[in-house]
Amino acid sequence: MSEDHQNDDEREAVVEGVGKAQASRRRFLQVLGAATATAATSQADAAPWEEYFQQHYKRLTDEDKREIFARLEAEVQDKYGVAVHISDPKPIDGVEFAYALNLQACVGCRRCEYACAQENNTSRSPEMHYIRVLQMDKGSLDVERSNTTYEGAVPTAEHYYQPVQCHQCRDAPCVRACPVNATWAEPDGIVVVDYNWCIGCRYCEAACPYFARRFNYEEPTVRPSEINPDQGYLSNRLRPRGVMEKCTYCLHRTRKGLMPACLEACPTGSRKFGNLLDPNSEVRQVIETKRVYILHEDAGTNPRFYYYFG
Amino acid sequence: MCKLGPAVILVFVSAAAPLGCHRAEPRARRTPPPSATVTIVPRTPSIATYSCMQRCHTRLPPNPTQRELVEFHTDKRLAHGTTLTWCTFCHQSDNLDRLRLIDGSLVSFDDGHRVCSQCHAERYRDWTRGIHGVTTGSWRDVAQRRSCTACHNPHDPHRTQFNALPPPSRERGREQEDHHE
Ligand code: SF4
Ligand code: SF4
Repeated sequence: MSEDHQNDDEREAVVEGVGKAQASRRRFLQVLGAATATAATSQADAAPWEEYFQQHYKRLTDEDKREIFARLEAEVQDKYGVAVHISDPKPIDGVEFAYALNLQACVGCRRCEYACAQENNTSRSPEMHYIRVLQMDKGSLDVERSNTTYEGAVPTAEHYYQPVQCHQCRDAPCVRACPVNATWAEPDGIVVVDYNWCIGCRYCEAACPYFARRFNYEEPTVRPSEINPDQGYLSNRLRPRGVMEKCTYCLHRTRKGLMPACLEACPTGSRKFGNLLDPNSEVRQVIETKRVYILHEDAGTNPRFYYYFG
Repeated sequence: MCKLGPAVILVFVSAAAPLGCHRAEPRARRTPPPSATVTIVPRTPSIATYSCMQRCHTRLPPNPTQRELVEFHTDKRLAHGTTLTWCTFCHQSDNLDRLRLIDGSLVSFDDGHRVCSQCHAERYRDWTRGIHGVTTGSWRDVAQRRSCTACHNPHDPHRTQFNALPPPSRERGREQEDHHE
């Protein structure tokens, strides 16, 4: 057994240790065990009942998934009056996704940030963006001294811009930090979160050196007219309060062959995305012919996100 | 024995760690699917005054003398390096629907990048590899690549400023809220 893998007892203990987490399904089950089960038979309570018994994503059968997706779609229909489609595209054989970002071309316009929010149904109030654009002093690589609240005309003569989002690390500290295995790296390299398994302890958020994880402190809100109906179970479906989320390289798009929304929105062509295993892909061309820079290389995260000059 | 090895390990791992271990899962096959086919987005449909010949210049033969333009094209400021001082350096004066390469051959506006490549060889090479420039669509099926002049004004290619979208309210109120930094 690998040294970083906790056994079930330990995991249970950690879960009890963070018992305040609002979604502790074990507490719920205890309470429920003592109470009568008839509550679950009423139509209104059927959804939470099923939800609390829902297994980890990796243990779901295709049949389970069909039922869960249908239930979630119906919930959105009820709550927002919007017909959404939840899918679960699988990783593609022979594909490992990577991102490259041209620091010389990015002008810091934040078009990527907003396109991402729109695509991924992230909360508008409180406002949540997966991407954070750092305004950096020219000649400095010190992200600690960057400014994320700049406004007005860009680019300025004194600055360059460095957008930061999830780096989909090969040795992801967030994955190691999670006490309940609610976040993991998929075979195509994308680090995902099972929003139904997440207990909201925020250990992963603290572990990420890129500050790439976002927590739903409040009920996320998206106007019905702004909901993106094309939703992935492991990516942009509507999240509840109390769970962690982050960039997934738009897996509901990219696993279908499309580019991520942030790349499509970028007016400067600073963003390059593709298959790291394909020698002709744009990302591979970047890595092979340009000066590439890895953010926080010393953290040993081995990210699938590269910055380059040129 | 050798053959059995991986199978035994697999059984062990799946029994002990039903959710998989913390590392990425083993990959079944590593042969990548074929790369995307890249198409160049034609420029002519987005040039408002195209076709130059049909609209004006068949009737109005251009005056090749270098001078200050006061009647037509007054919106065009030519500020591109020190060698490009007059229209006919890139535009073919007797066929204004074509651009002219240094060797005298003519190309369509859709192939404008070939004109640029004559001076900006390295940038052009990066563009052909998809390292520089805008390519959207699919990383696997068909991708659309923009030609140089879709982004750069060839007459005055200096980068202009424009307004950034506002920082999200979470960033604006960061000092007060300070969730994690
Ligand atoms: S949209 Fe492109 S240029 Fe604008 S901030 Fe994002 S990466 Fe930079
Ligand atoms: S960037 Fe952060 S959230 Fe993304 S994989 Fe790395 S450690 Fe995890």
